[in-house]
Amino acid sequence: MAWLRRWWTALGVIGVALLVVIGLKAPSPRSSSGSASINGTRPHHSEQRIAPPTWRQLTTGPAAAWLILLILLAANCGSAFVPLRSYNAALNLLIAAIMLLLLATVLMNLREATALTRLVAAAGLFWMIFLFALTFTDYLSRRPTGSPTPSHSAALATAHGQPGTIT
Amino acid sequence: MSDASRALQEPWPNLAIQREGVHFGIWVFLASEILFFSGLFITYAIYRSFNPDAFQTAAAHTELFYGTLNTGILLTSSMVMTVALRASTARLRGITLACLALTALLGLAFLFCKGLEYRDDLHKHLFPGAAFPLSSPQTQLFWMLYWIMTGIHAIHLSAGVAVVVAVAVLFWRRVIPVQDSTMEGVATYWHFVDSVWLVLYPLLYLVGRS
Repeated sequence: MAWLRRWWTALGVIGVALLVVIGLKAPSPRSSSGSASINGTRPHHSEQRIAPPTWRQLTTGPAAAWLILLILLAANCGSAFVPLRSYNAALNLLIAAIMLLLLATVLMNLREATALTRLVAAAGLFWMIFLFALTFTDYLSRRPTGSPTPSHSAALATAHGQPGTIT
Repeated sequence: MSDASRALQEPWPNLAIQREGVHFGIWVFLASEILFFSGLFITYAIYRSFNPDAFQTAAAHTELFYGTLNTGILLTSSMVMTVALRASTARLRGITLACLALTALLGLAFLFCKGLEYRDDLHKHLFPGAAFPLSSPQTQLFWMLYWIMTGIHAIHLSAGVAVVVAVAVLFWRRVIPVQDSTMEGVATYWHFVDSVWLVLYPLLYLVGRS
């Protein structure tokens, strides 16, 4: 169960970190790069002429994120072979969470989305955290069938008026 | 009729607000998808919490090479999709179409590798049932989840490829002009499918390696 507690803690940290990042205030629209922001203050397409961005402007940000993601993928794969016992799962999920954050903020442009959209995205994660929290509130507070705690056995014995033998 | 007006749908006053509506709508759908996949993730977590040794043993038999290769393919496809979205924002028709085609090809490459992986898995009889080769019965729980989770992900990715191809054809035949309002939903869905795989990868391929 120690393994699961560490994993559960890692999941909690990941979930909170994702919510914090999604909840960050969106930056002001970029006007110099040529790739217009999706912020609602952007003028109508037909109302303004923007110089077409260069190939470099189009690809620099995504390519940098892609390179970092591939490095993180290699790190995740490599770390799985390092004997860390129960910490392997937490480390693997932590690296995966960093990759998700990068994907969401840079490639998915979630930080530039409207507050309403970010709220909807956060709601999905919020309820996922609730799902895990409430489920593991149950599963982490009891043992698997066949290995009852001494107090559990005693309670059952008292309730049924006979020695508690649980199989 | 101008390009912009052909792309504009009721009830939106302009393409910028229409794009926000698309982004909002696709995230409402994706929020439900997050909960759908969360059900699978929590099933995995519960079974693994009660059978940690069996999961370590079973996961060590997954094909790490194919899993890692497919993760790299999906990350690349996400990068290309982002370039496609940026190009569509700037109304760069050629780059948008090329990137959409490349994204679809990368999606098909993922499915092809997945097929090869499935073939190897089946060759080793790693499908829950009478011929399952691992002695501990609990290992079949992991492999049941492996087939369900990767299968559902593959269905989602197949749908993504179909949508990408459909939008590319609409752009290519000039049924609708190249613009980011349409692309926003496609790109967001594609990145989401990629995100799900980023969670599946450590759960299915990196367990039991050390």
